[in-house]
Amino acid sequence: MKAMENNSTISEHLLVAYWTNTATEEERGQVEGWLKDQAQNEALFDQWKQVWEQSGSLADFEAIDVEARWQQFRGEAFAQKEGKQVRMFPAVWRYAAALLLVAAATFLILRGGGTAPEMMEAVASNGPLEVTLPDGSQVWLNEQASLKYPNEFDTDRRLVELKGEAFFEVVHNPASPFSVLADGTETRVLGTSFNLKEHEGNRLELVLVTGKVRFSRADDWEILAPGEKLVVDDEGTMSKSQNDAANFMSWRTRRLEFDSAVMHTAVRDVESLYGVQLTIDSEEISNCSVTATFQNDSLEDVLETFKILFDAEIRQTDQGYRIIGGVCPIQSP
Amino acid sequence: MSETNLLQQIKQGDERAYEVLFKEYFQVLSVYAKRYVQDLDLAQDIVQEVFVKFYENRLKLVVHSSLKALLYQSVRNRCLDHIRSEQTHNAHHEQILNINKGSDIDATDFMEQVELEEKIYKSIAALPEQCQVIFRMSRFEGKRNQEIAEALNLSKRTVETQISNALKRLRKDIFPYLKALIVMLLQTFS
Repeated sequence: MKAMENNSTISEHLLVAYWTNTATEEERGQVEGWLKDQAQNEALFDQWKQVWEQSGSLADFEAIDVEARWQQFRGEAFAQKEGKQVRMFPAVWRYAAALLLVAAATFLILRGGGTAPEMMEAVASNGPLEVTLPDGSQVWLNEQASLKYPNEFDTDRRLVELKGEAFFEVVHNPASPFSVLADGTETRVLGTSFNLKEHEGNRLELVLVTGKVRFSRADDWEILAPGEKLVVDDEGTMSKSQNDAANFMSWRTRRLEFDSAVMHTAVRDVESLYGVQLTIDSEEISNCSVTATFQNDSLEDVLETFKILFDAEIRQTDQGYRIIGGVCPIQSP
Repeated sequence: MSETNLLQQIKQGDERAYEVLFKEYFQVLSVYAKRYVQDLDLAQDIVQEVFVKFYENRLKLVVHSSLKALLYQSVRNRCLDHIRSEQTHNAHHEQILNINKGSDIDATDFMEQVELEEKIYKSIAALPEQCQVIFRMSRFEGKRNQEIAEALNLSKRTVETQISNALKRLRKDIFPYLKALIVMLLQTFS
């Protein structure tokens, strides 16, 4: 050790500069000269390099918040015991009694033998429906969507099956992964909230709001970060992108927000929230910029706003409404 | 606290003993699990799951070798279960599954490797603050010495000295373990 140290006449910071390609021409020359100088310098160089490379894993260690994880674990392992009897069952029954919960009380035998949990089915036949699952997770079903779930989850996994569109706010429990099955796909929650929209055919859209989910379809899978959107097209091809649709959750929040949005996309959002068809006659208005926020407003209020903004005429048609004429105050870039 | 004592207290349901165990191993086990599942968040969830199971089964628990070995083994099994259940044709996963059919070599290697990494992590955390800051900027942000010097309002010479110090310290702390690593790398590539 000692002997090696004495032969090491190179300054370590030069080696660092050399590995990171930040060395000047002169510094590179120094390192290369030193390497050739003595045979053992090469071994020394390799050793230093290993130390340097190994230190890269530091980032992983630092990314782990042990204290937060411990608190979370504590809550789950130690508190769970005490609170077991007062879990969310009453809430489930409240919905079962009061709402559109169609108890398609099929007794399915899962995993051969044993006591089978009762399968429940919630159907949002008259507008959005909020459902609380046995673990306390909340699901908002968009109109026409349906969700199948057991009245009691397995201890090691939570499986539900979705048709249509829903927003999930999942109670985090690493010991029991939460999975949504839809159309031959699986969205596995690694903790948190997301919007999943299953269309007719293969089409499907998933937008992650918080946390992390793993989406899989056949052998293909993707992990999503907040703000990311995953789309499966009719051919079954998966693609991931940043979600730029600001109003993707308006069906749940009843809120439309247009921030310098271009009118022809803004009316699509209005259409999907109110379930009507809107057409814009003038190209000028179609390409016009709009900034407005609607919260719990009626379709009439929204149309009235457009009318005032653009000085346009709104006419009711067989299919929906037409926006006729008008002047654009701010053209969209 | 000795391991036997710790286990005894955990069996009695002592939350503080469990906290000691959790905080001692959570990080290094998560980095270990990441070697298998490739995703740090997922790795952390898996390790947490192992701790939950460990706690639930604490009374039935029989520790044959050591608590540490048991934890590593449980995490590894969970990871392999996970990979199998995914049934992906991901090349990395297939490789791991193949290796694991026959031997335990990679499990031991991964374990030694992450333990070494943990030593480096602790060694860096023990450096004087300025030295740490400079080392991080150089190692993780890829900054030039001149840039670091300007950002911290120091002379370039000070930055160079600090980087040399950090590296020297690291080498001193981990040199004894490097041999094992070299052996391991040869095995991997042969």
